[in-house]
Amino acid sequence: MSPRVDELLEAAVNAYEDLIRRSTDLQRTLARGLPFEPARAVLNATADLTRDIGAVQISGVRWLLDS
Amino acid sequence: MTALHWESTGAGDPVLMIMGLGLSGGAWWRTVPVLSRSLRVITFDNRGVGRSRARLHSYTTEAMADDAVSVLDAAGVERAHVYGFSLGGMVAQQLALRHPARVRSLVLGATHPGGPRAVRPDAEVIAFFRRRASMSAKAAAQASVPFNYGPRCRREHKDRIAEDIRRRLAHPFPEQAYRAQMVAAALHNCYRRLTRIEAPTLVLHGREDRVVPVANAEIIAERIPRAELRILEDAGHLYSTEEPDVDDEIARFFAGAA
Repeated sequence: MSPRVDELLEAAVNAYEDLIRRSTDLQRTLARGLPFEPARAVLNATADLTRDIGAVQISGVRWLLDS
Repeated sequence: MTALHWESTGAGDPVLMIMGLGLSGGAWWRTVPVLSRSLRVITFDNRGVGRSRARLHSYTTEAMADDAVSVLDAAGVERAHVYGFSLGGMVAQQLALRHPARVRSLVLGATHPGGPRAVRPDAEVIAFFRRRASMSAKAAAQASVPFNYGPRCRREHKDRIAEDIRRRLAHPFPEQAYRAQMVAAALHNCYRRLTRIEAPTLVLHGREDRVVPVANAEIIAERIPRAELRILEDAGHLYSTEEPDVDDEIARFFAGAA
């Protein structure tokens, strides 16, 4: 892989990681604003899932980039 | 929901301790008395281990790093020195990358950067860790001795090893949590991003470590800009059992990084 392509892919992965982070943070902020359960717990759980599924995807892609 | 057990000992600048695979925060029993002479030492049980609980048995080092930040929040600590050991060292890398403002300095003990560039243990060690999940806690603790300790320690400090095992067995962990932590370690991949860690970092490793080969420490120290590398000759994976004086060295590193 050329260094230029490698840089572009790395930038795309970083941008996706940032998107996951923002999405997770938004869900947590919304959850804090909810006045009742179980909606708050559900939203916190989806935030956790967003983070963890994103983490697995990003780890996999970085693994390929590093190979 | 995830509920984390944490403890705070001593007073002074805070240091957060993150333990490795399958071990509770109690496994820091040799280190806490030394560091707490001059620091506020915060230990906790990782999700699913010891007295902590997890909603899902699906872990990543990212999630475990966020757990660590929750502990800092609960302890009322904005910024702390962080000491991660083995799997805890991987979590500490994620913590420094995901929450850099919360990390004053970093000690990475017997850990690896993840990804294909990490140096794997030999086949015998890998086979043991695969078998270990189906062994009883006592049998696993005994069988892990040749992998966790260097030859000198096994020869000269059998009493220390016995004491480690006695304390480890006080907090057995469910098989599910062990497997989930193994998956988190396997997925861990910070190699590329280590260059972004700005905190002063001490990378510690035993030369005779069979669980995480010492070459990993060299990789980490090369990639983190402000890292210094300290190799403990003759020590294996659980180096603080073999070289208890290293805890004083860590306390001095934190004092220098304050």
